Amino acid sequence: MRDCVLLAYYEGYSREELANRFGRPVNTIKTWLHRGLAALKTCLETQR
Amino acid sequence: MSDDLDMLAAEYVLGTLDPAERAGFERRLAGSEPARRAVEEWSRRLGPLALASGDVEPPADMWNRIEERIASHGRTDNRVAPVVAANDDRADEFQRSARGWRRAFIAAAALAASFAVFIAHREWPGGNGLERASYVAIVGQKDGRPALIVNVDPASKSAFVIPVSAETPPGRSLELWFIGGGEKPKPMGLLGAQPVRLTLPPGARVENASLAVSVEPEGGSPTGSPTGPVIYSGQIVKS
Repeated sequence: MRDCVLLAYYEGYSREELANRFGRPVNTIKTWLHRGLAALKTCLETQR
Repeated sequence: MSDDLDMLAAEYVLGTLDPAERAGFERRLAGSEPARRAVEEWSRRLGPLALASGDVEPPADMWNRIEERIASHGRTDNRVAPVVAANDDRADEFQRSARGWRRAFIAAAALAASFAVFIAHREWPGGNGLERASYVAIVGQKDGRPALIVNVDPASKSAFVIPVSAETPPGRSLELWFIGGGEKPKPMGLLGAQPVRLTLPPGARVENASLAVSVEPEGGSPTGSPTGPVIYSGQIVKS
C-alpha cells in the first residue's frame, strides 16, 4: 500500500500502471491506494 | 466528510484519478465547499512528501525532450485521453516520467510556494492527434503561502481557479488580473470562496504571462485597472 502511494506520488504511476507493476487488478490497486492514504491520514492525525 | 469524498480528494491530489474522474471531480469542486476543503487538506498532507526526496534539478533540455516525445506519440495516436495502452511500454515509461516530473513540480511549488509552477499535463483531443498544452499557476503571497491554484487552458480560453487560502477583506472584493508579457493588467473577474471558471481576456497570450490578485472596492475595480494593493501573484509557466 505504501509503495503504491509513493510510486504514484514520486513516479506518477497511474492505477493501471500500478496494476501492471504489481500484477493485481485495478480495483485492488484502488483499494490499496485508499488504505494507504487512509493510513497516512491516521498517522498524521495521531502525531498532532 | 464522507469517506468517498475524502478518497476522491486524496486521489485528485495524488494524481491517480483517471481523466473522466478528474474532470468530474473538478466540476464537483466548483460547487462544493467540503470538496474544496478536502483538497486543501490532502495538499497539506501529501505536500511534505516532496521534502523526503530532496531537490532534483531537471536537465535544461528536459521540457524540449518531453515535448518532442509527446509530439511523436501524438502524431501516431488518436487516443482521447492520456491513458496508455497496457502493452505500450514506451508510452508508459514516458508518460509516467512526465507525470512524475509534474508531481515533483507541484509538490515543490506547494511547499516552496512562492510563485508559479507549471504542470506537464497533456491531452489528446479526440481525432486530430495533436496534443494540447495546459498550464498551471500557483498564485500566492510574498511569504510563499499559495492562495489560488489556477489551471489555465488556452484552447478553451478559460482558467479554472481553485481558492486555497485567499482571504477577502470585509466590504471589499478580490479581483483576478491577467498580465501578458509587458502588457497592462486585464481584468478576469472577481474571486470568492468557491472554485470558478473564468474567461481569459481577448487575445491573451499565456507565454510569459502572470496572474495577480488585487483588493478592490466591492464589485470590482471601477476603472478597469487595479486600484488597490496586489496581494497575490504568480507566473504562468509553459508546459
